[in-house]
Amino acid sequence: MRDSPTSREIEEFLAKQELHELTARYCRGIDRADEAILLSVWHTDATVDYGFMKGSAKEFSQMMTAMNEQIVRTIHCVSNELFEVDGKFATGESYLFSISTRRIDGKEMDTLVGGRYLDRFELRDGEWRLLHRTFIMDWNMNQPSTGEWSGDGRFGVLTNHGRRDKSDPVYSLLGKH
Amino acid sequence: MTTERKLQDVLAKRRIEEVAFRYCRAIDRCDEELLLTTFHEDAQVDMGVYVGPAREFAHFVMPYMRDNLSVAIHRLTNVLIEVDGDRAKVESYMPGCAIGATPNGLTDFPDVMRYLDRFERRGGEWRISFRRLVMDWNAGFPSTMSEGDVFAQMVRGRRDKQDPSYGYLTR
Repeated sequence: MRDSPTSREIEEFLAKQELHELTARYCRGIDRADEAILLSVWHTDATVDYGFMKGSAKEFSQMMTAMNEQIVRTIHCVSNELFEVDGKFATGESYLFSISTRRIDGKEMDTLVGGRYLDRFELRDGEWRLLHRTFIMDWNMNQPSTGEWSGDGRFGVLTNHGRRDKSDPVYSLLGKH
Repeated sequence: MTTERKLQDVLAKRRIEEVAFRYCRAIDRCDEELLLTTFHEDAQVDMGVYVGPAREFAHFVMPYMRDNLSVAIHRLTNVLIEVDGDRAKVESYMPGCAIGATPNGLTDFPDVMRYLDRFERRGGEWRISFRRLVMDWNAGFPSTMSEGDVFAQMVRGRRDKQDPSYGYLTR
């Protein structure tokens, strides 16, 4: 049997857990259009490169959570998270699968995207946050929405609907973020 | 928070995540007995279509899944857990897909839902005490599933205890 983990290994393990949770909290912030949650994942001087937006993470957060009548929903699912921790710095790659629905000329369009986040993290005052995020687009697919949101069908009967604001049911579960 | 306490939290989170995965496994294999092991005896659910005791839900959902879907796959991502002693609050994303019969023939139903859960640890075991199902997105397309070519040679998943996973996992 091998020796117990060293304190360095334990630190690295705990850091990766925090980075994993940070990655999911970003998605919660975006998908609920919650600026406070989204801002909580970045250091104040963090930057982003999403192609359509290069610059401060703070401005990006404001832009992504601002009221936008065109955006019906966004769903960001992350998987395949790989992190490398080096003291107070870390880098990471995670896979994104997202679905967003936009209303254009009264018609809803679904866009599915497969991409990756390339991240730099820093530990400051005991807290890991993002210092930089670059988004890589690998795949996308666009089609008219075929969703079922009412009636007696398979999905119609599921009446708890996700929302892009604080009326989403997650807020009554958590009470806070 | 001490390192010891942080490690205890991560252990709890992994246990909770396993229960959440086991729920998916039970639903996808139509295993009511396994599904019941993910809930406390007095657990409640709000599935939109059904609100009430989890035990009754399990009894109702399994035949429904078996009879109305020929394939069901429930995956979990973004499992965010807040542990507070013997209680935890959990949000998980469930990008799934299913095939069901409609008047227009077999249809692929990709979807994304979320589970919003309260977990409790009783007698050392984490289980769900309350689960709410939230619908985020769904779609329907004519199924193009192939049973031929290379697929014909592959081991097929089953929605009963004949599924090969039962030779690997004890629950």
